[in-house]
Amino acid sequence: MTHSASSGGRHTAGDFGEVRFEGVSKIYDKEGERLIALEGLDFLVQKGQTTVLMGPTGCGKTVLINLIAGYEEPTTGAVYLDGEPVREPGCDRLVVFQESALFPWMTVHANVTFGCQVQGMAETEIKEKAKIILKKVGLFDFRDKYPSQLSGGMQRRAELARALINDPKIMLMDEPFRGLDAMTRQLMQEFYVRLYEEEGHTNLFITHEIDEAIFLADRLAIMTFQPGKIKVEIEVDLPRPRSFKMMATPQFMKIRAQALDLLYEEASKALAAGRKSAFDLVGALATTKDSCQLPL
Amino acid sequence: MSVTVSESRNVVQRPTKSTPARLKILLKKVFNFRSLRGVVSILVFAALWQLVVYYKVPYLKNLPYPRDVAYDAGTAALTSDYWIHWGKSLMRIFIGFIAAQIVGIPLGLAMGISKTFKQFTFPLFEILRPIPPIAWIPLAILFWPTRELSIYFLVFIGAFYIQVINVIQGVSNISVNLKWAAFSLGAEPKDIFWRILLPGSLPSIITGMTVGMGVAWNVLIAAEMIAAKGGLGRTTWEAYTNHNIPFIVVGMVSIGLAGSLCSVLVRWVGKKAMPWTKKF
Amino acid sequence: MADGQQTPGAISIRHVSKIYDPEGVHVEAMRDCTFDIAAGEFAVIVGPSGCGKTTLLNAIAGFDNITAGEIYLDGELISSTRHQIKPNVDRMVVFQNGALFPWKTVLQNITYGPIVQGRMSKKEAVARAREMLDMVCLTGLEDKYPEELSSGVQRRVEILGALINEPRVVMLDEPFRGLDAVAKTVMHEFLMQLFCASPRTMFFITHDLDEAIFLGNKVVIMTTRPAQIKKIVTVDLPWPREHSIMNSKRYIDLKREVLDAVHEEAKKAFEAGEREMA
Repeated sequence: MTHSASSGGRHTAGDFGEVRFEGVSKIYDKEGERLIALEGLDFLVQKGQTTVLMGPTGCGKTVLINLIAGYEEPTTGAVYLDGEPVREPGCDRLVVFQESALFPWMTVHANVTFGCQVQGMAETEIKEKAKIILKKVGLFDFRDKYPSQLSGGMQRRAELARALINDPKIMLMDEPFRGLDAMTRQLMQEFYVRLYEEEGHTNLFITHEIDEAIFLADRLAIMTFQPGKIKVEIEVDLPRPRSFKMMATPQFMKIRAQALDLLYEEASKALAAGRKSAFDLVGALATTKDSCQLPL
Repeated sequence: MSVTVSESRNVVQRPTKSTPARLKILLKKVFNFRSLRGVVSILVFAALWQLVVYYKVPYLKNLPYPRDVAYDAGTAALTSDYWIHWGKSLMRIFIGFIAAQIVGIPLGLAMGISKTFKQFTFPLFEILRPIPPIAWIPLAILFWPTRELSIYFLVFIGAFYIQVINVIQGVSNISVNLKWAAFSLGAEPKDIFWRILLPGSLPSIITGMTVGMGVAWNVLIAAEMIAAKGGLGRTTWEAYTNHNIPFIVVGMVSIGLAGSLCSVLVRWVGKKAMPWTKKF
Repeated sequence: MADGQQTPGAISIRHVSKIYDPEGVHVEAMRDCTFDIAAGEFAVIVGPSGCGKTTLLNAIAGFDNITAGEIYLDGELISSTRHQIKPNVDRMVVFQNGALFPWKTVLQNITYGPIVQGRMSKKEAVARAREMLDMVCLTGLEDKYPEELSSGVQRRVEILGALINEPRVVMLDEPFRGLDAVAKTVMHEFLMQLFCASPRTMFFITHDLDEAIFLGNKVVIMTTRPAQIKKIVTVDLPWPREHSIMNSKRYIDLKREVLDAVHEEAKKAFEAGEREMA
């Protein structure tokens, strides 16, 4: 089962990382209140592909990631990784969180090699692997800097390096580019797409940005509002390698409109449930085509 | 085009200048309009002080003249007794303070990490904590075999509770994402302790030390005034009982100076221990 | 500017530069920017992050001075190196981070401006506010407090609070940043409705290119620091606009043009940023 990030080629890394959810429910009982985050969820994350998960706020996307990573356990049902049930956290499923989880007191190099060190790898091997991965993400010259000395985009890249050096079967990205300014974000998307297209490892990516989702994805999965289930999956058949220019093509805009319609539907269910954010829909649903009549 | 920005930024961030150039910049920092305003207000204060005593303003007329204070300060600094007092106070501070760290930091870590341990120890801790260190003075004198030991104990009390509270806070402040990330990367509990929890609570430990040092000085001076032999607090109090008023002020200033020095030391330790923080 | 009397709000920017801290760090934020915004036009400013776009907004609104050039509003000089008209109700700004009074209700927040300036009596202001809320289908929220509302609704209340003052120019600094795709769609329709109902000059800063082309008459693309005008794209899509227009060929062509230009600048900014870090 050895496969290294540096050996390139889609087939090696992409043969692993298939995640299967079977009838998974996750229920929280907090101070007498019952929250059903997920109910009877069936979902397949295909190996070697980038699956992007979208849905209204609070639909349970992060819970899904936590279940795969092993940070939480399902109330009923089971989660399987390549056929084996998921039990505890492990370095075959690594998460990149929204807020930077780099260890602030360690340099970039120390952060990236942390996993290898606690696993008892040989010092020379660690150094070699670190060099390769740091060069790949373009941070080799910054390896002795602390996270606080790096820009937002560089911190994200350092986290990616820290994850990738361990050759995980699946990368779990929970809105990793959130909080970055739009320019950095766009460039990070391109960077990540290139990385994925070179390495081919399985990805489950959560985001709110629709353009980001379509740009990265092989398939788009839309989740329903509470309780969370997979509503529908859309194939994103844009050609690879992807380029930012594709964002201005009819094909892209068509998928975008389709996804937006579905998200709209789910958001209006949030309205029916009386959530605070649902008021955003009030205007939209009531506005008709004729409301903007005045000529300009 | 944008070369202007990068170049000027580099100049500000990395001064690779010769010593005379550095000196020039330092002098410019000290002797400019902003610091001049500060100097002016200090001079005005001193002048007001002189005038208030000279014109025998009610309530304030018993203050010593600034000149007398300066004279006494000068003569004291030349005697060895004065510096022995310094030594005594500093020794008491360091022994009590370091003892508080040795006991307090592990205790705080244990309480922060183990819920069970905290459930056992915290209630007792919280009952004793509100007792002000100064209130411990009589009991400390009675129970410790020597006067010096009781003073070390009081300084210890001053810094101890604060440190424990800060350490507990520090451990809980570590983001759960960091712990999860470490677990996923294959860390065992011992790795989590030494490589995540300890460095992660370091900022709070240093905060605890800074605040604790301040309180420790307070306690020390009070304890010295009441119960000690020698030391800056004692000698200031004796100046009062001996009606040597200028020396009271000298004592006060000395205490302030000694306290500041200790704070600077703690800050320096903090900066060295946490190279990853730009500001402390 | 020939329409100056009928629809006010024509902005003229002539060779404007801005240098921050000229004696010290000397950051050249903006250099020699020249362009016009016609009265009643919806101008969208895009470009890399940094001081450029907000600097321009601050200069026009009167929050900050400029170190070269002039800015005119309807032919009147409002900002130059020597003199600057303080911010006033003619140029209302809607900020990113919410400027609603948390202790006032929605209605009180909206009517605050005109009442405090004495331009409307309380009765008139309340009536007008209700009218506006009704037009955008937000009735029923008058007596709610900001904390009870979602961020999307708060933004809309703020925008209404700005528009009720009938400013000549409305300036918005990334007002919809951080909202998810669905909420943004709602915001766009809302803004479009208000704009069509009573057109006035809009100065809208954003990073979202779809938002820029969908809402604007003209898209002004700025370069990386020091900011200059890279390109101005005229969006000749018909009004009123619906989201289905985003599938049209013309829209896609415009998007491509803007995307290429912005991406080029983004790369430059990124590389400059890396050099600064090292």
